[in-house]
Amino acid sequence: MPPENIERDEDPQNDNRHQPSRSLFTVPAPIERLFDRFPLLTYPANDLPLRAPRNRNEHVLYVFITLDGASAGAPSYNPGCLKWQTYLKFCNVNFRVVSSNNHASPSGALPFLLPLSSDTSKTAQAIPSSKLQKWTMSNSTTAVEEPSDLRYEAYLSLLDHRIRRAWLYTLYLSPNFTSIVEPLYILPASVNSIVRLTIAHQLRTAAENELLKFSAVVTPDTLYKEAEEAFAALEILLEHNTWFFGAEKPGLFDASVFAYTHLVMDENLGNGWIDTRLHDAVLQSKNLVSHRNRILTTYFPSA
Amino acid sequence: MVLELHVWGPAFGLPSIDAECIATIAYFHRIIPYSQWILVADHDAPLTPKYEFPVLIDGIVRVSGFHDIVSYLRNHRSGAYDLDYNLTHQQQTDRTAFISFLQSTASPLVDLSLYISSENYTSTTSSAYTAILPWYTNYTIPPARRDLARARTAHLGLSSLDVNTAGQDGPEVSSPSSGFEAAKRSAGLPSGGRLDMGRGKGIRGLLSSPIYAARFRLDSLTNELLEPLSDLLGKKDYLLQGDKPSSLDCLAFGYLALMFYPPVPQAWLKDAIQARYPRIVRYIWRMREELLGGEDVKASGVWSLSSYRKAAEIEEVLHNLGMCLPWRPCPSRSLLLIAVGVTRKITSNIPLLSRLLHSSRIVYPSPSGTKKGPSALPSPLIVNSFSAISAAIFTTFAAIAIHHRRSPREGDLIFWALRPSTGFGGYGEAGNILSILAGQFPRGATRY
Repeated sequence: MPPENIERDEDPQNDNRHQPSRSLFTVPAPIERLFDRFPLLTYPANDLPLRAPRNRNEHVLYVFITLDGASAGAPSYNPGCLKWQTYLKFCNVNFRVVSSNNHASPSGALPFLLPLSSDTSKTAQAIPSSKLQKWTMSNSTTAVEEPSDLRYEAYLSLLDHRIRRAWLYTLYLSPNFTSIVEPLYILPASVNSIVRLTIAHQLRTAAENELLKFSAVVTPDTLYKEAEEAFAALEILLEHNTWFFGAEKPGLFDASVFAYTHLVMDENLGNGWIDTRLHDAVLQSKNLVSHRNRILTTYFPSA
Repeated sequence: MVLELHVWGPAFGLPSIDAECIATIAYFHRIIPYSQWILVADHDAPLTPKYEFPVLIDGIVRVSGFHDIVSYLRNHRSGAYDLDYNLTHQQQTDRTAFISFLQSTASPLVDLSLYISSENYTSTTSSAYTAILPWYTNYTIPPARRDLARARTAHLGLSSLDVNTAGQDGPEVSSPSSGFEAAKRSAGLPSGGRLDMGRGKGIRGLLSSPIYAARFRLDSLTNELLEPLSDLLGKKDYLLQGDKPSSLDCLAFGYLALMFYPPVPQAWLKDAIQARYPRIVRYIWRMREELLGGEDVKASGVWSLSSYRKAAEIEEVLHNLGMCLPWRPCPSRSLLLIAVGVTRKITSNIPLLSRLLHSSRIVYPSPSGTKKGPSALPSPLIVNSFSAISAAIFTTFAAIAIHHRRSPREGDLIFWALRPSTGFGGYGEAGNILSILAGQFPRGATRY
């Protein structure tokens, strides 16, 4: 309302009633009486939704994991997530794992870490897995530099390519799909069978496309042979050392190896292995088996 | 039995346009006597077991890929053709690791330099292909290989090198000043051209412009490959042993040669090697001398062999041209085979048809030997029958609609049913009763 109007309305009032004490903002008496009849009641604040974050005094790592596994601190069933979960444990970072899926991630892929922030009004920036190592270096007191061996990158490529490709094949394209991927990735995602079928189809095509990038024809024999060679090479690299490259403490490389060896060796992954070729290949590498058992008993005592 | 090696044809003075092919040729040239193998510049990849070159044909056995060929030679022929026989156990493991390292880090770099960068591709790579392929395959093979390279390097986020697709990616840097630029352009004002790119954005804007951002990324990728390789080489002559080349040297040379020798306009890869890794440059020169005899292979020379048939004539031509590799002409294929191959490639580019006609390129083990676990998902039978039924319903409706469209009725559409003309005669005994009842109604009632 324009200010002139107020003045025009007010002036006649003051003139007529001769009550200069009453201002425009005083509540009129009848309405005041009406409101006095109602008691002022303040309701208690609503509870937070069940899914709201409760304890914000810890870093939270979002990974693929079953709900029971998350509360027990079990290892994740996804190699990419397990690698970082193990690495953070190596570096003595206090964190909690939360079951999640790719749709929840800002980058579209798990894992990511929501760091603890001292200022509750500000939401902390999520840290994707590509920046997790740098973050750990600056946030953990006991984090160790990776060994500067000139063969480090070369052996890492064995894991990231050969073993990963065999893992993709054995998990998504072999009969293990029904016994492992289905109970772990598909059934928890939805109860609708059309959605489940779509997810199954998407996962399989994604794995196929990834494999077809590197060879025009995918033959399981080649993939498994390459993975077996890679495991044998890692076996010789480890020899009788406790950790890879003769390090004092386990590092990211040990975590990356453990992520695959543990899952491949795990008899109870999903509903168990049907195509056991990769499983058998790892069991033959004695050093890798004891390396895995060492990490499992030290860092995942509950599992 | 003479070993027959089929590879992609020569380019850039190198014996092949593909890194693994160069590596295999170098391996063969080094260890197998000249008379024991022949080399064929081929282009019909679908005839090979894995749709890719190099392919080794030994009698009825066909092996493809550098890694498989080398292990075939190691396990057969009583190990006579094994370059790695005197490596220690540790060195053999290192070789496996570094071969995997080269394949994973060097091949994206070659892809980026020769295929993704559109300037390099149009001016160098595609013309190199024209020299080694028959005319009809030029429409299919180079684009297919470029698409494959795109798929392999998509995760690096360097598509800005590819000018053809860069326009579709939208504005690359969203800074406040880019908003100004857009406003300026829409108002018809001249916005800065190529030369003063980054002016007014400060040094940060300049450095984040796509060319420079890509350049930083490329440099870090190049270092990821060359630093470990340069460290491994050290002061030695070869990567693993001090005195003898191994299969790892062959593969490293294959990739490094394709980074170093092609005369590309955007020579960032060659510049990086020359500027920072003089040791690698000397290594490439030395390897070329030792593994390939330092020869400059010309595609036209290899191509000209196809007019000769007799082995003696070919030997003479090779001698006259000064070629030290045992080239043989590509076996001529019948017109029918060529036609089949061309149709295959055309249909594989048509979206729906390619799915129906081409089987999956994933080889599954025979289903008889494998057991299957119980699945909680609907079985394929149910899914297929469901989709078949819905497809049938859809087709029926579509057919009715088309039929109706093609022969429309005259006038209004009337739905009618047969009504007995004489009361309820059709109902027998009950009809009689009904007709009596009907008689009690006023006449107009049955007429509605």
